[in-house]
Amino acid sequence: MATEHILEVENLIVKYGPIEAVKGIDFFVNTQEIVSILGANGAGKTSTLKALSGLIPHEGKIVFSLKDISKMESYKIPYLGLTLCPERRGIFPDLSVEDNLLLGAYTIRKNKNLVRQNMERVYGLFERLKERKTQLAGTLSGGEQQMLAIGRALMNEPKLLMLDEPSLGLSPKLVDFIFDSLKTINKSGTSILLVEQNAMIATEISNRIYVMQNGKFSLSGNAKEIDFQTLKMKYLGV
Amino acid sequence: MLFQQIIAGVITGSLYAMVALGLVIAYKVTGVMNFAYGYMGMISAYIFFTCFSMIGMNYVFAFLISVAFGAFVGYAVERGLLRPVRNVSPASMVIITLGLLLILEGIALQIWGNNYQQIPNLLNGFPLILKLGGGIIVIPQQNLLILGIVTAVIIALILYLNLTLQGKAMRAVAQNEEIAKLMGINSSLMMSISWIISGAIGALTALLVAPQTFVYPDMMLSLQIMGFTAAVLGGFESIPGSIIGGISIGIIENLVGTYISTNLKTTFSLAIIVAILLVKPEGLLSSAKARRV
Repeated sequence: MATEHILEVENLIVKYGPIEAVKGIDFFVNTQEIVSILGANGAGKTSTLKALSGLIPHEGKIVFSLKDISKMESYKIPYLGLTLCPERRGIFPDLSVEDNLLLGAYTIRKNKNLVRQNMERVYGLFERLKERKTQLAGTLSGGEQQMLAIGRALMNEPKLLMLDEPSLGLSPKLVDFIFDSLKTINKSGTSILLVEQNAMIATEISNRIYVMQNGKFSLSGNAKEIDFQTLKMKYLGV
Repeated sequence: MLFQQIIAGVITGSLYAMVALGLVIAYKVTGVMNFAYGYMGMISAYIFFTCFSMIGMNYVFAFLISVAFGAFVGYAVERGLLRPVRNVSPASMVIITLGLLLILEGIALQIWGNNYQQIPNLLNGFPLILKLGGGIIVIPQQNLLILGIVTAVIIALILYLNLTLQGKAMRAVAQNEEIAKLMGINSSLMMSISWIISGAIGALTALLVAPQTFVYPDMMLSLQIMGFTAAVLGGFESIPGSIIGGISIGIIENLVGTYISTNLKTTFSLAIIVAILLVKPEGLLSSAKARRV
């Protein structure tokens, strides 16, 4: 049923001048699901996420939680519970770790207790952040910055968390840790839309996947049913 | 003599620091170097002149109205003039603000003419006299007022930016506007607020200096140049840098004026500053940031 779709996207098009980066895609995310959009560099994945967050002009229809957000101003979107966790360079380097987290809770700033509670939850998930809470975010290591980016996105308790390349530039061990955390976050009730180049690990934790090539989906389906060999062929066969 | 000159330098320098702060806060949040800044403040000095000397309002009341007017000018310039052309090149932006400078000068000439108008000090009482190391230092009450107000503004601004969530949100917009929007921060509103603060600081500076310079269309010219220099010396991104930059320039200028030559005061101080920037091009305080990528 359509009401199960927390996010529904119809014919999404993103253009940069004459170049079409996203060429009319349709997809949806169900409540409680983890959905991944996989694809090589330049396939249009990040543009898709930016369009969903209202950061770049786009055409098509985006419905989140039964609300049409296609034309909504970007800063209003997180208030609905749709939050984008940008790639890890998207932290505020000249603010402390704790201030980064506080800004993540900007949409719920009036509820001080909830902010404190969520901060404890994030510190529980990523203990390293608690140790470094007074440090400037720009001085963190790559893995810690990624934890901060994810932790910050969790601060306003999103219904749907979108993540842009959380594995980028991290060691395999840290990637495992981050993806385990994503599973924990999902179990506690947050739906997840993941954009990844690392197809293997993303497929492992996802319910469904979409493979994106040159701005279009070339394959989609249940993550368990997709033959990894086919995926690799499709995925690498640009 | 030396102490007297240093104190005088701190007072002039604190006004430079105010101009630098106002420039830097608007620059950090919106990326615009406002070459019309001093002239925006000049309009507020005329508003004060009109309210106080022509209409006969109470001094403090007229003062507050003029500062509020400066805040409004800051808002109107950013919202009405600069935001519609946000995406032009930095060079075009410089031309736009320089154009605004000429427009403001023209408006002032049209409305108030180019006579030098006098406005009195708020405090005219007996000056503070300190005995120090055998010499005496005389500080007029108006200068104490300047020092007090500047200190209060600096402290308020630092507390606002570092301790309030809105201040942090403003710094977030300054660092990365796109990411700030992802947090739910209304970046347009933060930009307006930064120009409102900047406009109010500019008006306040003009009102504090007006009893000494008189009110006329170019009254803020040298203050604007020295304020810009102070901001550059501080690295143009740093609030403590602007304060240190402003006060050092004030002191250098006064010492040069006393011990070398009054005529060469500005030239010589700017030469010293160029020399400092040759050694430390990023400004006095801009290198201290640790960052790992």
